[in-house]
Parts: sequence; C-alpha cells; structure tokens
Amino acid sequence: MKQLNQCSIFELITQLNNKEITSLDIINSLFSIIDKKDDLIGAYLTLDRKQIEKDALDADKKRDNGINLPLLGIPISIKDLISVKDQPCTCSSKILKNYISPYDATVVTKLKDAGAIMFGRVNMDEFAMGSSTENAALGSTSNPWNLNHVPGGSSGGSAASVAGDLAIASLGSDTGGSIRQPASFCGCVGLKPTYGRVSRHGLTAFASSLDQIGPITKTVEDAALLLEVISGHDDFDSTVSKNKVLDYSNLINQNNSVEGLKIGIPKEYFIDGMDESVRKSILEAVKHFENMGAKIIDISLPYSKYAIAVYYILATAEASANLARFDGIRYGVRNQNTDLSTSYKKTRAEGFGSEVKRRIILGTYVLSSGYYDAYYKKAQKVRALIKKDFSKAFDVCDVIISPVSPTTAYPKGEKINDPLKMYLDDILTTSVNLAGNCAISIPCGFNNNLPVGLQIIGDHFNEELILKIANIYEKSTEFKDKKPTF
Amino acid sequence: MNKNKQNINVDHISQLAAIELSEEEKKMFQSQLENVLLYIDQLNELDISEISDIDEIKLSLNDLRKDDIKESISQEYVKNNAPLFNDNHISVPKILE
Repeated sequence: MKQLNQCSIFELITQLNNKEITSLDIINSLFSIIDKKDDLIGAYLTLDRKQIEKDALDADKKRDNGINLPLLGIPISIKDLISVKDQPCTCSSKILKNYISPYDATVVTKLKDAGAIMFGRVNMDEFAMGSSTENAALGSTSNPWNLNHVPGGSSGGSAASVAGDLAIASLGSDTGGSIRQPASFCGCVGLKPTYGRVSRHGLTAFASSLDQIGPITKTVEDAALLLEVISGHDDFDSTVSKNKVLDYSNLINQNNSVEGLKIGIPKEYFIDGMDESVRKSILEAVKHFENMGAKIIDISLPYSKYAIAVYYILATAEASANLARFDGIRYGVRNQNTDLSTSYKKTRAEGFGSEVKRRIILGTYVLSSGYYDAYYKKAQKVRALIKKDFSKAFDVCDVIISPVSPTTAYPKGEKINDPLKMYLDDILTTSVNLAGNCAISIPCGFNNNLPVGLQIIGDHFNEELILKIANIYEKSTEFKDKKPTF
Repeated sequence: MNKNKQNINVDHISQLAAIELSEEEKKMFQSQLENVLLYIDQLNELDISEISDIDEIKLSLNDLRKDDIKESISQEYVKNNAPLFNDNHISVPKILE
C-alpha cells in the first residue's frame, strides 16, 4: 500500500472524505520522509513545522464540523519566490535571506481559501534565473532519479519535492520553461498556464511580460485541480484575464477520446544535437496518439530558432528593471556605507549571485542609449513573428506536441560555467512564453533511468484541451507509476 | 550577419546597473556576454522593416479599478524588514552634504 506522502491530491481527498486518514497524518508522513531523505535531495529551504501542524489540526477540525473545501487539509510546497504571509521569501538570494513576507500572494490566498496548507519553501535558481537550480545561493538540490544530476530549474525544488514524494504537490513559476523543464527532468507533471490566466501578485517579478505561476504535481488531474483553484481575475494584477475559470478537473474526464484530434508536430522542435532517446520517446508518444485515432500534422514554426535570442534580450531587459528594487534600503541585506551610491553598489555586489549580475548587466546593456533599437526594439518585433507562428499553427491543428528539453537531466556542473550553453537548454520552451500560450509537461519515457518529458502546447486559454489530452496519455500509459529510488 | 566581436563596456554598464564588479568578474562577464551577444546577433538575418509597431505584442488596454482605500501592511512588517530602523523611520545613508 502507498504511504501517504506518495499519494496524489485526489487519492488523499478520497481517504480524507472516507475518514480513513487526517490531514495531520499526511503532514506527519511528509515530515518523516523529509527527516530521512531531504538531506539527499535538498528540496526545502524552510519548513515551519509548528505552523503546518497548526494548519493541519485546523483543517481536521473543519472537516469534523462538516466543512468541505476542494483542497481542505492538502499540503502544497511553495517555490521560494511566492509570498506567504509571515514566511521567508528568499528567492534563494543572499540579498533577501532575512526577509519576511508581509502579505499573501493572490495564489496563496486562493489556495488557503480552498483549504490548502502552505507546506514549506522550496529551492530554486536565484530569482528564477537558471535551468538547473545550481544558481541557488541558499541551498543545493539534487534530482531524485540520480543524485549526481541536476533537477532542472528554475523550479527545481518544486519538481524534486514532488518527484521524491517529499511533497504532495507544489507551485512553481515559468518565465522561459522554469516549470516544464524541471518537471520533465524529474518525471512529474508541470503546467505553464496561458499568460493572464493566473495572478502574479505576490510573485517576485523576473520578466513581467513572460512570468506565470503554475502547478507541479504527480498527476494531470492534480494539476487541473490546482489550476482551477489558483486561476482568475485579481484586482492586484491587471494582466489577469476575466475569462471564466473552468471546472478543469471535472472537464478533463469527460469525453475521453482523441479521435479526430489534430496534433501538430513542428519540425523545428526536433533539432540537431537532441538526444536520440528523447526523440524516440516523443515519437513513440505521437504514435500512441495516432493509434488512438488522432491525426498527426506536420507543421512549421519557422521563427522558433530566434526564440532564445529574443528571450535573452527581453527577459534580461525586464529583469534589470524589476531587480532595481533590491537596493538594501527598505528591506533586504544592506552594505551600510556613508555614501548612498556606494551603498547601492556594494549591497548589490554582495547580495546577488553571478548569474543574476550577468543578466542585470545584459539587460541594462540592451536597454542602454544607442543599443535600445538594435536589441530591445528588434526583439519585440521578432516576438510578434513568433506569436504569429503559433496563431497560424493553431489554424490547422488543435495542439502541438514536442519534447520539453533536448536532453534528460544532465550531471551537476556540466553547464554552470558556460552561460550560453545553459541558455540553449530553454530552446523548446521559451517560444511558448514569448507567444503567451499554455503548455504542459508530462513524463513519456526514460533513458538511463532518467525521465523524458512530453510537451503539449495549447492555444491561448485552452488549458482544458491540453489537460484532457495529457490525462488521456497518462491514463493509457504507465510512466507515472515508476518512482525514483534514492 | 555581423560576426564582429561585440563591444560591451562592462565597466560602464555595471555603473548604470549600480553593481560593483570585481576585476575578475569584469573579465569573466566581458567574454561571456560577448559570446551571448554574438549569438543574439543572428536576429540581424531577419528583415523586420515590414513589421509596424502595432504588430508588436499587443498589450491589453489599461484595466482600471476604483481607487478604494483598503488596509495596507502594518508598520511592524516594515520595521522588521528594514535593514536600519530608528525612531519610526528607515535610516538611509546621507544623500546631501
């Protein structure tokens, strides 16, 4: 029988509703595995056990009093850049190591209103800048499938906590692939919602025209449930759409067929240098859909080859502005100096890690006088072309399928000294952020005991369809049942 | 396509970004960023003269709400998060002589 820490949200809800278990049982099961195993994984930065225990007892009391809420008593780990009132929010940066959030992010308010328990703060690349969680100033995280390999990033702690059964589910954020790629590397489900589906109020901003919060879970149903809870309009974030939030977790189980579904396969996404094992797993998944009645269509997204160049101009430009707020004046660690300007410079020199400095410098450069038109303005125009690629593609197909990453999780240290090599990791995920579409990563194979992730990309606000297809795939294959041993 | 080495004055840019860099960092960033810029230069292959500004990413119109007075964060949080706090104010380095 499954231990509670190994269960999905839906499995736990059934047991809670049948009065077989309590929320306290769930969190104790997690505490016990974290005590035994988190030394190996390093997923958690902080875990406020007293508060979590109190929240679990409260949830159990509510349930005893006949109150039922969609996530009552379910613990969720939170990437350490989403604010939870009275908890740290370090963004895995030295500059914020003493910071305590004065308020809840909107997604956190929504989770709490749905009865969920905020369970611990998980590691990440500093300010979400990275693809391996190696750029983390306050912790080091390993991949549960192979402890010498990276968990992916930047939401590496989220993915590792879920894959290692050290969490039931997690919230991450995705600016250029930071939910999908770690989910792919760790063999879990990761959903990047459409830009404007989920509020970013309380999310530490990296690149505001790209950032989205989304779930990392053990099953597609769990991702659907979390999405329906965290989505929706918010007075604090005017970019959130007023589009109706659907009942995703019910909808995905209706009409379980891919008969006649048009799946687009972009030739540009099967690039040279891609692992043969990854290519094989993805093509097998495509065959699987074809066998179930889907129609496979070859499509082209010709501007995708420019996505990384565009992304690293726009994301760093936005980051250079967003991270100007970290100056050690109102909060954070300050290098106190008699001169204000020196105080800023030394504070930021000591507080930020290498990758953050590198990106701020690049972003400042592309926005600087004389270079703005050549870089920033041009990148905005090419972004429009990338967006058009997708809208044309969705005229002829319903969803697009590709790998999430050209490789499986690689050994630690392999790319850390070569930023460009690390940036190229995001080659199959950044276009989706630039175009604002939604996409999901689900496990579709293994190579050398490391998971391969399948990316299903949907049109704007068509989360229902990609979740439905992912759910059909998950239920007709056995990849989700395989667990890492560590 | 321009394959020339990219000139980025890391020293000057670090001043604009208000980050003090060590000599070692300057040297490292110089070569790393030159590589990144060389890669980014592939955008020069594209003819984008036909794309008007309107074709750029369309931002939705300002979505305004009423400016209602609501409870804000308490002074206690401001005080506890401030690096230096004296007599009900945040202390900062002197900006005027």
